Amino acid sequence: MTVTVMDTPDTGANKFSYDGTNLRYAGIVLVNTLLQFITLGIFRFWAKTRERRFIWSNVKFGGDYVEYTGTGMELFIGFLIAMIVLIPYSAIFQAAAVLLDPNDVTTQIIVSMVQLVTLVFLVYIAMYRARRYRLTRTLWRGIRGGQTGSSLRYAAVAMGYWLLAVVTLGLAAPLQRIKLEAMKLENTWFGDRKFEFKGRASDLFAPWLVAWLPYALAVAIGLYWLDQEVLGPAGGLGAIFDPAALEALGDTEPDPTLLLVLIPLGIAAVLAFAWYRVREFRYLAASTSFENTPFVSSLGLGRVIWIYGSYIALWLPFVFGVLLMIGWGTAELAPTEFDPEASGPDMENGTEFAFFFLIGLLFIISMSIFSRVFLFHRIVGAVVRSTSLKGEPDFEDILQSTQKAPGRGEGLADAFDVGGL
Amino acid sequence: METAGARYADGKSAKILVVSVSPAQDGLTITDEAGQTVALWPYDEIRLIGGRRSGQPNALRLLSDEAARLTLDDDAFLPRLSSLAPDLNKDGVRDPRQWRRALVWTLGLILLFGGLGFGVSISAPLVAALLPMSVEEQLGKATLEQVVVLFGGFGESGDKMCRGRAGRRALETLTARLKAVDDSPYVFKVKVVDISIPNAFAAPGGYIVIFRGLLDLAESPDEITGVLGHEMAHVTQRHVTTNMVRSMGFQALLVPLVSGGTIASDMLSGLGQMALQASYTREAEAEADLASVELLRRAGIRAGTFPQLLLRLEKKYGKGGSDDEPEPGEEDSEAARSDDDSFSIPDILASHPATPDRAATVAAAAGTGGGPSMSDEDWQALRTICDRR
Repeated sequence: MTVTVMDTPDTGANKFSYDGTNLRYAGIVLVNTLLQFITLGIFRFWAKTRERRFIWSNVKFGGDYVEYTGTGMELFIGFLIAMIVLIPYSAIFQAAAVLLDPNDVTTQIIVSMVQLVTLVFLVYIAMYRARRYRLTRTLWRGIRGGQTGSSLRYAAVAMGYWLLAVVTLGLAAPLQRIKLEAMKLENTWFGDRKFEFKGRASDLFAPWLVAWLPYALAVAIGLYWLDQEVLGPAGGLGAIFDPAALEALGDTEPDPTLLLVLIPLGIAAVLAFAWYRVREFRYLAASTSFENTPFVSSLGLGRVIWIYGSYIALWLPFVFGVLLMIGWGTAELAPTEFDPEASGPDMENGTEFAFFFLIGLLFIISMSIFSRVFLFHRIVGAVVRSTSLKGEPDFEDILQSTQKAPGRGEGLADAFDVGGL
Repeated sequence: METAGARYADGKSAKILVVSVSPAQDGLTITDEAGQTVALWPYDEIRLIGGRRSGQPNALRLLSDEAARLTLDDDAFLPRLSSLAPDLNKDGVRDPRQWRRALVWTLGLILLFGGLGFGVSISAPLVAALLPMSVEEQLGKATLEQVVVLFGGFGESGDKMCRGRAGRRALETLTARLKAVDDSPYVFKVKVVDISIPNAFAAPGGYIVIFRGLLDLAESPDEITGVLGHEMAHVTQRHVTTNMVRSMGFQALLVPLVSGGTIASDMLSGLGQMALQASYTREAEAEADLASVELLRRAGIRAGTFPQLLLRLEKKYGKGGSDDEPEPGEEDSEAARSDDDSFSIPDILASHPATPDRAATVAAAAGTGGGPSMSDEDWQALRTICDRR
């Protein structure tokens, strides 16, 4: 059964709109970043709350704005509680790193694998719980959202399909996507009603293949190049496990011409992936419905490419400008034939060190503000504005949620820095 | 303006009503389009929902009903409402109980971290002492490689270990002489690396590295012996291992705390840790100095000349002031150091007690007794150890 993805949405009361301007959002992010810096990151709970309040309260549907009722305090307390889990977790792996023989490659790999797997598992749990917190703090016409279901089950399913995707070299990725979205959406509530989801992975496989092929090709070419050019004299790819052979390679310069193919291939891969993601989003929207009214999204690839493209076009001169400034600063202090006594930025000298530290810091801070405003926020706006409901559910019928909402939020998710919203 | 238009949601269903709102005696009367009174909102319970930007409609909520919402069509009614509802702008969420709870939690957190941090630093020496020798040696080997690489000791032309045979023999003899009067279980592995910075450091498990620059700067072998004794003391007293245990403990604590923050706070937490370290190493250095004097005395070697090396080092590379801020200077410091000769303070001085005081302390403890640490022949051999690599 195919789902038509290209329907034009209805206009008017059934469309989502987004009123937030980049300028206002930038103001919020700027204050947030500065305060987070001053408080060594503790402010982040209130910062996230401020940003969410701004974004949520600018989303409008059916003449009414959405409201975010979460508080920074709830996030802070959630974080405190998550620490109880994380301090021993962190300590165990630190201890393991020290106590195990660094030369015993097998044990080191096993420990890393265990750490990676438990980490990914915890991250999935965190994501599911964070989503529940956010949904229960979302109000529209006074009615709360909600999410049921077990985060453990979610994490287990996510891990299982993640492994499957890894084993199939990425081909099974849509399967994981559909399973997880289904789990999330079928457990998502507005008031006393659940959402419905009828998406199927088989509908996504063909588009996914289109996006997957350039990547697979690029990887294959890269590996081939490694095998022939870089490790060829040492016997090909197998030499990775043979340190003696690697030593013998010495300074041979591998021929990079084959890599030139990767440039157009890389561009194709990025574009294909963007195309797939937009298509996937529209499909997921069309497969989701509430009270038998399906959603629909008109998000276009052109819009997304424009957002990313303009961001990169602005970002490059910005980064270039800052690097130029840093370079100038360094050059001023480096030894030249006129001033052989100059010894470069003196890291022991307090003022010089502070100066470069501050420049570096300003750079990092402005980069993060820049990307959040010009990339993230614009995408949010585009996604919201493209979405609407094909029809009008009877909202009068929908009653307030009676689910118990979590008292505090997202401790684990905060620790793993999960989720852009 | 006596009545205002608004949209009303009663919080029980997602139905929205277009209503008019008018001020009555005790509160706002909310009337629907048919003229029916739908609700009465008492003035003292009305709160304005914060966080709205200009251009967005103002929404009101009721303290006693979490979900009901009244969204005013325009701002014109607000001033009237403010005069009637005195607590309008008080965010109902921020009542004193919440603040008290927050304060308690924060204090608890501070105490917890303070306590854990204190616990880490107290227990670090114990944990370091409990580590098996094999673990310490692995740590030491890894540290050694790391630091030598940092100082440019592994170049394209191969490593910079100095392998002059006669020099190595002289060094081994000296080490054995000191080891003979040392009670610890450590096996000392002393190496010289061809780097022109005058420095020496000890790594866990008995690894000691002396830079050629120090050999060049020394005017008598006894000075080098003093350095060797000092570094050996660091090993036997497990200063570096303790530091590592401590820093890993702090990291385990700090990482979850600031992990969600910006990169800036990550950087800061790293610096914070280094600053915490610096205050511990001063004590360790003073201890190592005195232990060195004791070791040399037991081996019958002159200990009084070691301070002269320190003073010479200070004169050549230090800032010439005893009130300088000690730089965070762990042996395996993460600070970015270039490998050219112009960087100011070698590790051996950094985070140490002020040099003139230190020299005086060592000189006083050493007294004047003791003989030479090696023959002139051996000393020459040692000085030229880096001629062969």
